[in-house]
Amino acid sequence: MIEILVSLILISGIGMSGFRRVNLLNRGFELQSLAIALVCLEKGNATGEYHYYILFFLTLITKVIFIPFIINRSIKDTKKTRETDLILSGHWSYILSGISVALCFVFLRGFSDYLFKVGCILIITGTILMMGRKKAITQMIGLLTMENGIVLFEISMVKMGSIIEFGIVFEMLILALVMGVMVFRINKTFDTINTDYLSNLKE
Amino acid sequence: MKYFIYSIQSLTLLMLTPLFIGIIKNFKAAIRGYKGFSVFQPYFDLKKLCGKGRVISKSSSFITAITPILCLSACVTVTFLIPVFFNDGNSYFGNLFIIIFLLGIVKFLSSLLGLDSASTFGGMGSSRELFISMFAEPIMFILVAFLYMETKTFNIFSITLINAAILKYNIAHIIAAIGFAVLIMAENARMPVDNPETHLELTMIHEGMILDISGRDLALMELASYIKLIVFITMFINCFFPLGIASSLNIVSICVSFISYILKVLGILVVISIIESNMAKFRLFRIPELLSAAFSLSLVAIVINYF
Amino acid sequence: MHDFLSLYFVALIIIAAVPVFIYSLGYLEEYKKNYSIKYFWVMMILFLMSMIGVVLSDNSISFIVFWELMSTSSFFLVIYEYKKSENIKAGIMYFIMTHISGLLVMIMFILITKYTGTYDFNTITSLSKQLTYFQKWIILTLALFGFGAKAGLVPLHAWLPKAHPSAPSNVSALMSGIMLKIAVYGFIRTAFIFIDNISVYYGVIIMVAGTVTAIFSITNALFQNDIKKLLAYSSAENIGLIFSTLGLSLILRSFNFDGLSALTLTAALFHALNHAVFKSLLFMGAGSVLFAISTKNMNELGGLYKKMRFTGICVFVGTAAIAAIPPLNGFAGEVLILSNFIQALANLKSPGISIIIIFCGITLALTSGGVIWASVKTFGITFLGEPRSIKAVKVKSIPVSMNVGMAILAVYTVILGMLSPFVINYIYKWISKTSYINIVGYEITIASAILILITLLIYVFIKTLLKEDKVVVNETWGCGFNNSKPYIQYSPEGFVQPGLRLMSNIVSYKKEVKVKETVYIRGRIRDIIELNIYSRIIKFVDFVASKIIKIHYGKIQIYVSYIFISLIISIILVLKFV
Repeated sequence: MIEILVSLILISGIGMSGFRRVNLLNRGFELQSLAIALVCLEKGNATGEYHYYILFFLTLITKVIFIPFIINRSIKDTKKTRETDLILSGHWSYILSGISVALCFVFLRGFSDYLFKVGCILIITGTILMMGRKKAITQMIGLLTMENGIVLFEISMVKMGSIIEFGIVFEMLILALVMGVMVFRINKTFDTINTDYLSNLKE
Repeated sequence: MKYFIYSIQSLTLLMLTPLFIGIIKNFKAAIRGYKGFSVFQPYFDLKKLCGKGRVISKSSSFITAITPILCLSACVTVTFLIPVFFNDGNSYFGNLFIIIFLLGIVKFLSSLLGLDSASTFGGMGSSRELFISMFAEPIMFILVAFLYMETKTFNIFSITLINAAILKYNIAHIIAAIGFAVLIMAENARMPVDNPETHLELTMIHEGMILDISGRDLALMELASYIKLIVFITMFINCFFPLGIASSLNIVSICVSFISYILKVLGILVVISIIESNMAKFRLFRIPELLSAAFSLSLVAIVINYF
Repeated sequence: MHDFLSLYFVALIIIAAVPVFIYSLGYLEEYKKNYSIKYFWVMMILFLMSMIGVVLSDNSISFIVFWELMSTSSFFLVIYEYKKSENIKAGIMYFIMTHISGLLVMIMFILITKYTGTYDFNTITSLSKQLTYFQKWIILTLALFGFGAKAGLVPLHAWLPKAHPSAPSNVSALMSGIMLKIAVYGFIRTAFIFIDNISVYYGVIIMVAGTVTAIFSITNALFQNDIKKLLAYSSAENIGLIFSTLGLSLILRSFNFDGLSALTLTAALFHALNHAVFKSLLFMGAGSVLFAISTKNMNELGGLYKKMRFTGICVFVGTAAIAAIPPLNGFAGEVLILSNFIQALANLKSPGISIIIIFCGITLALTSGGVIWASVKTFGITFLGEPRSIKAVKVKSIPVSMNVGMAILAVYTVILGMLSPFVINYIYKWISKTSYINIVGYEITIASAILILITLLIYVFIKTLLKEDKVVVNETWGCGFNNSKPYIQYSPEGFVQPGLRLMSNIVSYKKEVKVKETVYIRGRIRDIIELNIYSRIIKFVDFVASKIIKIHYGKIQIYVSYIFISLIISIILVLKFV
């Protein structure tokens, strides 16, 4: 069962690096967070510690229900649903994320636990998503993907403390709220959320 | 004796192919909400086409005469070289490369057929088909490499035998299966690469190449493309999820494996119908993006398995 | 040299050359009015004899003598039609590049003699353990550049698309089919037999050089409009494939997988034989088109099958062979090469080299997809459809000897394809010196036999059971469009337009649209290596030459004194350093 979920995480990670519609990115992020929550549940059943169940509920509530809802609201308000020009064009971003996933597996082949490697891969995919796009919404989704990767890092460690992930989850929640409001505000002031034009703020 | 069973299973596959295509069309009709025709309709369609006369364009050459027969014989030859529901592991035939290159005959000959009739639609279908297949070749290479590295053999009968003993699939297997599924869609002119139902200029790749043949030739080419789709689906099932296939000659295990094969094929046909009814066809220059996504997935599958 | 390698290459030369000679009997009718035929035959026979001499020679001196004879006689054949000025320019570029390769090969043999002290090939092989690491690297680098310039590896390939279209078609068939393989023979002789224990990195360099050649050449081949230039680039791509396989064999040998390394070398040799057979066939087909219509531009051709039926069928067999269609011989070679890449990947354990092998294998699969596109374009636009210009309507009839020559090679293609396991087992037995005969299973023969049987069964079934066959010949339907003219067919540039949009940077494609009384569209592609690297080197050499020209005063006494001074200096150098 864990294998299917981990492969779902990998597929959604690679697939998201080339999508253009923000709706699809939202759905991919939801799917990924759902898969991570179910991995937590499985691990909780396997070892019996209550940390895992808490993490499962937190991830479910914040990342599967709440954050996509906020992103949906801000998309509907600003009416920007597509990203037409990307810095890295479509097929190059797929190939780049595929090659970086492969190199990640090569360099980390000493570790036997694959959740650690998948965590690294999600961090790298989130970075590619952030660097290769111009709109603020997709950059935020990239940041959230990176945070998913950090959660996976933590699950794979043996001794886990709940304090760390409480802190991270709350930080991400506040970030999502702030970003949602700010994107709406930026759009109202400048009529665009394309970061190219934000360099006009210099003068 | 076992060669007799191999021939029987291939003939069964050939007989059942139009029935499977009728089932796809029925599923699509059920999803879209109208009452479609009966599942045996493709048999009657092929029979009707064979009875009609043929019109040949005056610009055509020997290509129009030999292509339908050669395409159909290549597809039928491949049917005799793969396992369907009985597998005893032999090494006289069944090399994966030979199967893939035999299916490449169909692509080569139908591209020439498109250029043969001196019409614009034919050339357009040929050039787009060759463009897509140029980018689908690396994915095929990586998937064959993946299967070899799992099972250390190129023979499809041995691959099925070794993979039938696995009960728990690891990550690389599932990701490679998804890559192969995208390849099935690209090579067989299904959504979202090509629309098999329309004859409009913007949406035809496979239909454009066979636009100018009629009657008996059209029946042979249609049957060849149906067989190609079902052969790809059978290869997908037997290489990646062959659980339940019979390896010995008693009646009970053959019946069980036949029923499980039919159920797996029906499951895949349901998925194909759902995808075809819900997605629109991609623009031509978005198709290399889809194929490069499948390429990345297959590359990840090999690397996970290797390290 | 009575080695299996030499005898194999002699067999390759004779198999490919005899049909070309039969073809030339008819082809030279075209040249009887303007040029001398006796000169042509003398040069052709000299060319063939010098190639056989290179392959059979067993010491360095005779190798170099025959090599220079081969280069010079092929130069005279390339500029045979000297009345057109672009042929002379192409010939001079070919002359310079082939003498650069001859110079590097000569330096390599001189260094080998200096290090081992003998000229004889057998003795060099047995003394090869005495060479130091540094000496081996110098010899191998000179071998790569010298033989690579003759074979057409990137970036030394720029003479190929200029020399092959300028030469008469039977000369192009000989050069492209056989002469490039002589360079491959020289390379195999140096890297596999003379020198033992090469480091892994050399094999990696060869494999990457071959792969880059393959992908670069097929990208340029797709977008050409001239038949012979397209076939020349396609030859470069196949040579890249052969060198890539040779690199893989060297890598496997340095990891001590001797059986697999011998199988990979067998795959490279078999592909060399296949390429000689089907490339000669295709060049002879292009020659027939040129003979009948006297234009090479694909924009003006079309519908030639109706008027040249036998030629059309032979060129169809050649096109199917290069596109790797079962049961012909290109398919058998391609299957062996790709399965060797995958087997090498599964057996090697070092991660860096495995990654390079994966990427080379992927690029080779991409080039085989591109080869199918280029070959369908060549056959389809030239022979099928309707004539695209008035030149393609009136066609001269083709002499019988040209058809006979092509038919012999088409029959060889089919035989080598269906009986390929026997040929491969035979070569493997001699190369690896074991008696393990069945390294490749007989699956290809069985599958081809089943294919032919089923084709016959279906044909008989159709003829007997579906007897009512009303056939009506009418205009093309094309969705009901009635006013069809020849220019609504796909043009050669339009056929590859999706690829052109993606790869326009690599071929530096420029399109220009002018609107005067009607719309003029012009597009051109250039070879980017020639554009950037060669023109800069030529400008630099020009600059240096313009400075040196100041020492030419025009008086004969100064020249004699120059010769005297350089003679004294070389005597001093020889006495001091040797």
